[in-house]
Amino acid sequence: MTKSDDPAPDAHEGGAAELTRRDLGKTAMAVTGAVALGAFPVGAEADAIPEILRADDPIPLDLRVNGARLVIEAEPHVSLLDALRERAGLTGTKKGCAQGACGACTVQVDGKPVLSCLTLAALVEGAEITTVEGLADGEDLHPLQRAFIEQDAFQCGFCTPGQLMTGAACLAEGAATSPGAIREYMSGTLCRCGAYPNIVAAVDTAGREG
Amino acid sequence: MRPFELARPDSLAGAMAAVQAPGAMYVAGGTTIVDLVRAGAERPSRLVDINRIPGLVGVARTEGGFRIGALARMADVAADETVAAAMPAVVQSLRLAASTQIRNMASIGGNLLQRTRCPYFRKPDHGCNKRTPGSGCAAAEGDDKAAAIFGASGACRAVYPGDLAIALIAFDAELEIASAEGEMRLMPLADLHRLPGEAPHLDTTLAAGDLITALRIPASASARRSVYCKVRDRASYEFALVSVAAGLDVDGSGLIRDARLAAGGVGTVPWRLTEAEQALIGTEHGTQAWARAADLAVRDAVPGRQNAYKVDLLKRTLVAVLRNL
Amino acid sequence: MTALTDLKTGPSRVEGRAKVTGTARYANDTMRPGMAHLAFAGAAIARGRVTAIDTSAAEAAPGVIAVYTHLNLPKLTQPGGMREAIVALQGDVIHYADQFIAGVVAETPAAAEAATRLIRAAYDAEPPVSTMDAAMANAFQPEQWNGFRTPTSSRGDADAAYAAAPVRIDWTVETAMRQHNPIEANATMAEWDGDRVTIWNADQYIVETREIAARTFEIPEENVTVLIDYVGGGYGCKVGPWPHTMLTALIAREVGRPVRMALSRRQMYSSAGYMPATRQRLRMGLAEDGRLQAIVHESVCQGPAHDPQYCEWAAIPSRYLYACENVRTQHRVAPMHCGAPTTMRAPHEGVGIFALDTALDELSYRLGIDPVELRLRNIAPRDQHFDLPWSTNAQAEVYRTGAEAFGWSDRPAEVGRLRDGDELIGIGMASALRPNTKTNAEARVSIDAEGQVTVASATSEIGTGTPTALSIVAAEELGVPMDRVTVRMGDASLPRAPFVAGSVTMNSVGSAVLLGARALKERLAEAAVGDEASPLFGLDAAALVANDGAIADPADPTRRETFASVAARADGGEVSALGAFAPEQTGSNSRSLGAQFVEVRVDPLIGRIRVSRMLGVFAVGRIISPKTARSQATGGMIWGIGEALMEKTELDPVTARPVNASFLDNYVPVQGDVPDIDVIFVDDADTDPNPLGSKSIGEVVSTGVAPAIANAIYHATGKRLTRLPITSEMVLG
Repeated sequence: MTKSDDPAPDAHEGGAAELTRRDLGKTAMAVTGAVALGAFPVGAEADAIPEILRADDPIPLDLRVNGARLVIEAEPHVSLLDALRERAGLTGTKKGCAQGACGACTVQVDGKPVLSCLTLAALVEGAEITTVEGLADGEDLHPLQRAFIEQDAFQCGFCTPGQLMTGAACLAEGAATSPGAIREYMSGTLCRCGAYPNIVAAVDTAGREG
Repeated sequence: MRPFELARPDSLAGAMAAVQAPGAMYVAGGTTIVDLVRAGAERPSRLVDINRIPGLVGVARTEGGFRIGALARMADVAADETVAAAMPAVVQSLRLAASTQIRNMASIGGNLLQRTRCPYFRKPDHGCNKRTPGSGCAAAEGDDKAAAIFGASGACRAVYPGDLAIALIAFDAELEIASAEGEMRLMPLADLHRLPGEAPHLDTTLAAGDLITALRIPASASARRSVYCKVRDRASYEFALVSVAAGLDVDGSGLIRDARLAAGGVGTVPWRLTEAEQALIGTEHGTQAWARAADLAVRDAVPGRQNAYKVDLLKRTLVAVLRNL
Repeated sequence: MTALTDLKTGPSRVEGRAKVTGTARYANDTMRPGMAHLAFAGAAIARGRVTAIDTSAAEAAPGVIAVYTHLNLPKLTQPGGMREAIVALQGDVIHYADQFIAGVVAETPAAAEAATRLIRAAYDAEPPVSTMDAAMANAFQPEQWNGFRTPTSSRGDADAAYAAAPVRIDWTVETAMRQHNPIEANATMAEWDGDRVTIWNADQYIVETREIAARTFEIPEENVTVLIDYVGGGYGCKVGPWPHTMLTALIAREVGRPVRMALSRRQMYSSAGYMPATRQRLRMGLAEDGRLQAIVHESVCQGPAHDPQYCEWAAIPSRYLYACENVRTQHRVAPMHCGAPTTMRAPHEGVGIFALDTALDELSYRLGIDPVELRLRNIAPRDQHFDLPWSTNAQAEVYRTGAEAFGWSDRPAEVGRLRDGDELIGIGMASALRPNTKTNAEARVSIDAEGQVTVASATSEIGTGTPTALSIVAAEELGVPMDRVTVRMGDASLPRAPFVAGSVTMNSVGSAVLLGARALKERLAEAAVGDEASPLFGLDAAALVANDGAIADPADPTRRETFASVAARADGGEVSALGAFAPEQTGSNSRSLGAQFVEVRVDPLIGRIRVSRMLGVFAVGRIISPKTARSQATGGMIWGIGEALMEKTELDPVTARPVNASFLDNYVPVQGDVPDIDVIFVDDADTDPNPLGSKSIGEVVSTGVAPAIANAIYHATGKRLTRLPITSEMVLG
């Protein structure tokens, strides 16, 4: 039997890595083949020290979600996903892995599908955010929503908001040119039930009919 | 996620001021840093949002090639038809690199600075000298199937995970870098990544506060006739088992005038295959030359316990790429 | 034969609008006033004891309300029956890596999760058993399970028949440890009101969760409400309660607030089950004409040292897939230091057929008999294991139908003959098999004065299409449009339903709905003939017909009354009836059968393998809901692609921690891996096992895919691969 005092996950406190990196950095220029390009103002002459938002203090974030203004309080580390779900009650957007690997949390930022779990809410102030709740026009479903129902493009439904937000962008960008192109575009959005062929069919038919 | 401060400067000078704090790091798309902070593998005290700094976006045609702002998104470059025509391998490396969503988020500059995908790096309860200096290397006796066959040290065998950098070093890309002291410099991309040696926690030669502001890619005949090939077990969105970027300039008689080769998934840093390139130049474009280049490409390979397949796979991928060029 | 095109028509999912608008609520979407959030910290070792634990930093972290460990959490009554035999946070012993050592309650999910990283523990660690190689020496025979899953079996004299057979094969295969990997992590929300508790649980068996919660907290079952609107995929890992469900309820009681918890993705690899790895040795003896004379199938599966309740019954298909007089099977479990396994979509047969059907494929080449023909020569004429006839047996038809539809006759018999540029093309097939399962179930069917029909049963919606199919059953039996039917489920207080697993739901709950609808019609008729206000007053109820939402006298069509009209005069303006289905021994047995046909393309230079074409042909009884049944089939076949070509959970050989515990490194199929897939359901209506005539679909559709792919790769490359998953490096040539 061995004695171990392994720390629990992430108990390695301290900034050793950062400090060493900084120390080494000072000498880096000497060993690389860099050439000088010029200068830009820094420090006192620039007078440009930005506001520092404190780690534990919630700040008001002025977001635009589904065409409406949404002001929430959130700390700097709060993801767009948590802001939408936990602060704004918009639970249509799903947390699958929180690692940027499943696509369930996909929303559109300025029309482009992005992963809300890897997006800091504080970095998208001013952008137009669209979630699955904003896809339909009131009671009128988006053509892709109708196609998803018709083509049976979901089973458990959990990945569906992410599939829809990805697929709607694929259509809007004109990228749904063939089943193969749709597959490639949508390959970052996992469906464990295996609705994949029907998802392609839904995007394809919505593209041709819409 | 461990809390951190946030600064949102709207100028380069503001970024330099904000990044002075110990433990401060830049954030652009957030695809690497947010993930690693949540996993406990990175512990920034402060993130400095560089997205509001003007002038760091856009793809511009220059006299010698292209200049790409560091904040251009992977998707922006992947969709650029002029880049696609002049250097197909670069665009292919971006299209094969990640999901649509990640490509929309991740900046070109940040992409080059991706940290390793060694499974132990992300898990703070395993020893990992790259994450926590002096904590050991769990891959040494653990799972090393994904480990590097080039450039490893006793302290670290973690693979550099990116695709774009592989294509870029093959074509002699350079970086524009702003320093905390207010100086701009131009540096070959090949000088960016650092071999692990005894200090694997230092991925790059960047100094504290250094910010990549743009990328320059020279145009060339070999870049115009180039390809990026990525071998993986899943059709999409998986990191490479092995990848190869290759470009050839072949004259009318079938003789190779210039050859560019680099490999991913095999090195602790983006791995240029210089000897294989030299062996191709001046020879006839055909199976004999490809085989010789493939042998030279792996001459210095040092496989571990479970990753010897990468030696063979690299040779094969190289031949597969050359046969289609 | 029901052709593919027919399957694309028919009713769409009744819950479709909720799922495409983001209004469908899953467990982790539950919001309650004053709720707090729970996250668990995990052990850094896989075997040993926690000797000290420091929670002070976590307690001081922003937003943290309380931290619980085995030192300050009350001891639970442990009634057993949960998916895992031990309950974490009830003692200091660590049985597997990432076992919970603390629970942090905080104001937000992010704050709770962040604070788990501040827990510090010291351990007495022992070296874990982390590999099958190391565990084999201690392999043991498991207990019998669910009656028909016996660890051993023997008919005839398999060893003697094998020794005497003119053609013999001694075959070893390995299948990998795999994860369910639902996109929705297991999640629980619990809220107490005095001695009453409401639990929202991502759950495939809410009835059991309610029972076990009542016993765990020593309160009457009426005091326990278990609810769930939608489950974000289960595939077996959400069947009833895991300890985390009860721990969430316990901590909610302690902290005095509603508490919500979702496992992290990493915890899904240690605390929510997996399919254990298997090593199987199969010996088969055949006559020269290809007829099976002996099968000896021995399987060892990985199992946790602390929790020997689960076994992967991989040798079972050898008992009833093909005709063979002499069969001996054996199962053992090799104990390791890992979390508890549990059933995963297409268990047992799913991995056992990989041994059987790759061996048969190999024999087809040795004997020079076409693989389809070889299977046709070994059709099981009856259930030789239980010595009963089959109620229906479309085994020959699935092979013949598939061969014709897939163009099998164009396939060259020799390997490596098909090529397209740099790619080798191969075509392979295999059998698909699962039992046709059924169990007790109840459903209430009601109709109100507006003619609105309500079906109620305590099942839950996990994506299999249950509400749609139950609506179809009720609507057809009552002769009303589907849009007049509402299905209520996801509440454990509704009429009792079984687990939503093992492909039992349509056979069982569907039959209960059918019986309930029939009983409702009888009750309506009786009410009408006994009521002077009814035009049917005084008639013999048994002589009436009930169709199209009305009861009528067949002798006098003017004497007719709608169900709604009868219900309007009933107490409460509603008439309802309970349907109770209980399987009977009918003198026959039945199974769900199929055949998988696959085309692969392999680039042998770089080892790229692509599945380029798939066809599944299945004999699975009457198809109730064509659209959702077809989706079950295509989804199941994609599940099989993952099993064949990518899925494997790696345990670190030193620490026994899962190395690839995330979607980042533990690959499941994505869009680009999936070809066009065709599905054919052959005519197999069979009311012997249940009155609905349905059979189990959800799992048989996944079985056979992995051997069909392996066989196709052999046909393309000549490489015989018997270890799953099959990856690039294995096909380099």
